[in-house]
Amino acid sequence: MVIRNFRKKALIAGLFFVLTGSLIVGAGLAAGGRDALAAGPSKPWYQTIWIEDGKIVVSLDFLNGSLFHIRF
Amino acid sequence: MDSQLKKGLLEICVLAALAKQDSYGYQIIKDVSQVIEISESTLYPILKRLEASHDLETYSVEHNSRLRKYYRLTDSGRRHIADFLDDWKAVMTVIDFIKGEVHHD
Amino acid sequence: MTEKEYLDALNKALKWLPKPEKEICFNYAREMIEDRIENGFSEAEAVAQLETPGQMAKAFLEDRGSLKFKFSLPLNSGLTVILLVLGFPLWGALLLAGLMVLLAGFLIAGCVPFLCVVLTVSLLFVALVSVSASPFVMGTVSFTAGIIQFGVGMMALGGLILAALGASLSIPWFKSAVMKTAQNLRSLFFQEVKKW
Repeated sequence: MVIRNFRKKALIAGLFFVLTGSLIVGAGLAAGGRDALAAGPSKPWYQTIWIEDGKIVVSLDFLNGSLFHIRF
Repeated sequence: MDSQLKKGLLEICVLAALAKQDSYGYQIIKDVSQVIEISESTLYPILKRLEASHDLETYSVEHNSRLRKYYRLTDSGRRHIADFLDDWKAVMTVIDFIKGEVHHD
Repeated sequence: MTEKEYLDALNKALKWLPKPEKEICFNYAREMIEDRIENGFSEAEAVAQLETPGQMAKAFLEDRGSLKFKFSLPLNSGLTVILLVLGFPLWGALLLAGLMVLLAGFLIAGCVPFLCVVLTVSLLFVALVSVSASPFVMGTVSFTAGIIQFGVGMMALGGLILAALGASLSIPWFKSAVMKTAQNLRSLFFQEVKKW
């Protein structure tokens, strides 16, 4: 199967997911998520977003290393 | 003869030379050169192209204590010949028409 | 001409070809000679029936669509040679510096496709874990945290699509840039020889 205008569609899909995702995150944070995310060191390994020292951390730890890690 | 036409004809001649039985380089040259001029250097690109398009395949057989490369016609090659003959039926009709018209004058 | 002489001459005429390709042409010509010998011709007759090594090589090269390159610095007069030797400290250093700048440029430019690929892979894992684990986070941590994590997964998925798109655009671009520069560099010193 050949998808026509593949790159354009991929761009639209990518932007769509980023926007929808950030809307969900924003809505969650607005609905008191800050408290919910303050998990501390006891958080389960599969939790990829939490708040540490007042900063939001998005991270995925993998085999003692971090595959992806940003904090803001 | 027009070189483009000759190229196309040579390709089919090489395929036809393999239709009855598998053959090797020199035998192909001998068979084909009965009807149309062909040399080693023209045969080589034709064999390469036909092999790339899967119209023929190669295998080696030990012959007089050396490996001789044989060429075998594939089903695709047979179809290629059949398509060519079909096309030429149409061409022949055109040629008959041309001949007929010229002879009227 | 003997078979060996013929093949040696062919080998020489094909010296520009990479070895595996040369081997194919070489085997073909040898095949043709030996087929004839088996058909009762003497070695000399068999070779004589073939086209000259030059014609044969030409057919091989033309079929391959190859070009011959010739080193073409204007070294025709003694003066230019002397100037080149005397000036080496200057132009040698400049040439080296130029090549280094070029190399640095490629290293920097090469980071873009590399980064895109790395980002694609890591975001793939983030997206997979975030989305698939969000129900568990809802259960063990809190419902809102699970929702937020799901949102993070969506963002990672989008980011991964964008990074993959970036890689698919920047890799061919980088490749063609390298090829073009290599061609340009070659044409500085070598000249295409179409007739021979």
